[in-house]
Amino acid sequence: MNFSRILTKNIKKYIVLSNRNYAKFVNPFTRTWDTINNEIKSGFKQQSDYPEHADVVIIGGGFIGSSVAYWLKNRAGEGLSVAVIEKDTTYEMCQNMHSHGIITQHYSLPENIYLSQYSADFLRNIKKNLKEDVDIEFKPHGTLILASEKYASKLEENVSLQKEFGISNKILTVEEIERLYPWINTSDIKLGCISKESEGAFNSQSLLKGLIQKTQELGATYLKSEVIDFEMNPQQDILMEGVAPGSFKKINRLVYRTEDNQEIFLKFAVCVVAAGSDSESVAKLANIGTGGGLLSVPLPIEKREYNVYSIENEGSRMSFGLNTPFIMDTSGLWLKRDGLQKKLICGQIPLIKQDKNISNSDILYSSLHNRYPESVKSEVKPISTDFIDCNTYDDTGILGPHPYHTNLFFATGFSRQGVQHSPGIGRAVAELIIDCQFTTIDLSRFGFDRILIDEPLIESNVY
Amino acid sequence: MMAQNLKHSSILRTLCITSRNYSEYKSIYERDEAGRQPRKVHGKEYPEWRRPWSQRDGEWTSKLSIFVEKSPSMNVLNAMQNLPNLTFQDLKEWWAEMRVIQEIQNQKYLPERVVALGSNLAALHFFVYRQSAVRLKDKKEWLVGDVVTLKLPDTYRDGYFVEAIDCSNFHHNGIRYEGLQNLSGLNYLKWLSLRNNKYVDVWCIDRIAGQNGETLEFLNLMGCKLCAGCIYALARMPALKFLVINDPGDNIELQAALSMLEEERPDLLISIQDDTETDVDNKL
Repeated sequence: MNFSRILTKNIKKYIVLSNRNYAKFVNPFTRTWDTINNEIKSGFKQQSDYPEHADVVIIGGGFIGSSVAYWLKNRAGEGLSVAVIEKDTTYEMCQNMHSHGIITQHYSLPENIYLSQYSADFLRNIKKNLKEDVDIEFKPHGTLILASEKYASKLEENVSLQKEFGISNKILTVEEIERLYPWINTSDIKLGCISKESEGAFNSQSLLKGLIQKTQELGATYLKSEVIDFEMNPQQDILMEGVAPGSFKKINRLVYRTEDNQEIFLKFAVCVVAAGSDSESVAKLANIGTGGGLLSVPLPIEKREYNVYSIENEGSRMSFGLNTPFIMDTSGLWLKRDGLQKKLICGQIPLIKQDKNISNSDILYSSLHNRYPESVKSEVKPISTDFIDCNTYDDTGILGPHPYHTNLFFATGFSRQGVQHSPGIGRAVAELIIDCQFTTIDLSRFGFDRILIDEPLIESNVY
Repeated sequence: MMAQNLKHSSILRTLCITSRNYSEYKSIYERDEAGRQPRKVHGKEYPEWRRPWSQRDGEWTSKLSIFVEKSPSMNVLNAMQNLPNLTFQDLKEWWAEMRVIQEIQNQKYLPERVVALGSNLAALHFFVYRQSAVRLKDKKEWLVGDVVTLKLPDTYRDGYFVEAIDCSNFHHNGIRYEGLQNLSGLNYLKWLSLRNNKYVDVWCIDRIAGQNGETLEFLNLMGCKLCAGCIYALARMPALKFLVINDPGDNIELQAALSMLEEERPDLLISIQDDTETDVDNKL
């Protein structure tokens, strides 16, 4: 009996071998059954390429958005699925911003001091944190802040506060400024302040690219789409302070429009709004500003733009050398040297109250000629326009959950500090989401609540 | 004899606690007795506009809730989630990271050391015990050695001013960013050689320029990671007279920056040398 079985097996083997099939031959009946089975298992739905669910959705994929995605993926790995929705992947609004790539240590709020210290640490170890080929091109030329009579005592107070945190900033008298930088006009200055280390310019584009590449490598999904709407579901059993009982509506899903005009619903647990200047319109989609009670206070973020000019003088000797720090003037004018080239780049932070009679460029020219007298002979031409998202309430960023929509986190409004503080801010938002509290730097005072209770948080060392 | 007696009594003291400990780390019972404290953020009180529902008047919470302290650490959870994917390579990388952290901690600036010894003597201790050579002001010989052979004073003494430091043989692959902070407060430092320290980059040279730029006259950066940004930091050292670096090679930006620095500072001598030449810093 055994012998005959072995014999038939050998004969079958011989027949099969002689056929020489190079592809796996599947019976057509088996094939049909498998296809129908797969369809039934997926519920007869059409498989779309776009995600319909993510644990954390980040609206806005710029510096802060990518930083939040990086930290979430770094700490949680496969445990959290992160989707970043960015409507402009060419990053026109972030490109070539001359005021973006500066890191300074001159702050008066403890939160800002900790954030800039952490940014310096992060950028120093950037090859370990992100990929090996990220070249941040750090140019440590320092930052010089000039103070007139009015602000001299404030500057001294700030410097003594910074010493407690370990930052060594040096106060310079007028004679020292004239000796070190003879090309500055010091007639109306009383004091200057320069930092000893970790201050200078870096390449913000390579930071952004490095963050995006590393985040995608760690597993986050970047979607080139635009958020159109939030879907709110009424939840009558939730009781919340400041909300009439039974009227609470929770945000569960958002609708985004993809490149090929498909509108897809995305269900999430937490949504982070890091959309820069568009944050106000995104917040309006969640009824923030248009509702009643806690929802009646809008997000006070506006887009501000200002021109950046370049000062050059063909052929004649420029009196400033390589030791040219980033100069922050009393009038809001900033001056910086354009890399190794013999030209200066300048811009001015616009005044809060716009005076209709004097145009912005007139103010700029007058303060520029005052501070750098040789610019009268040079050619000043506008090279670009910088956009920043400015918090019109108190000029400091908004970071934390909204009081009504507790699963909607804001991380916007940091204006000129956004890029240099982005590593620290991303880590803070990731801590809020994962640990539900701040564990390294306590940024509670940056929350949305301060707008509700009217306690402005003003940074006094930034003009 | 006195010290031994003291040791015995401190052991007894820990065995029977007779008084309250007023330090920060109070036990959960003491914290519960103290009641709800106002929340403080960076030293200032945080204005709370609403309280959690469980703390409102009339709401009941169990007394056992004082034992509920923290949720599980998320780092532990992340490690557990990656446990099935653990490879031998991961363990090796983790151990290498731990070694780096150890090395950085060993090179940290210790305020206690400076308080006990004064910044000059503290720097002397730091550098000599890590196999570099230090020369003091008004002396000709270099101090080299380790704990056993060299007897350095262990309290503050006047008259020790560090003038020159040679870090070519700095142990464990070279000095780091954190280690350079030990150079702060050295007001007479004129001569510094960071040869063969491969971890020295822009940030380190920036730190040196900020701390010692006023007095430093000789700087040897052979074997360090140079880039165009380093030249900005070098421009911030007004007293620098002699600079020794490696050949910049194909780096055009670095070459341009070096030529600009030479043009601006006619009294600064930049010498480009190969590693094959015998050491320049031949204890001049």
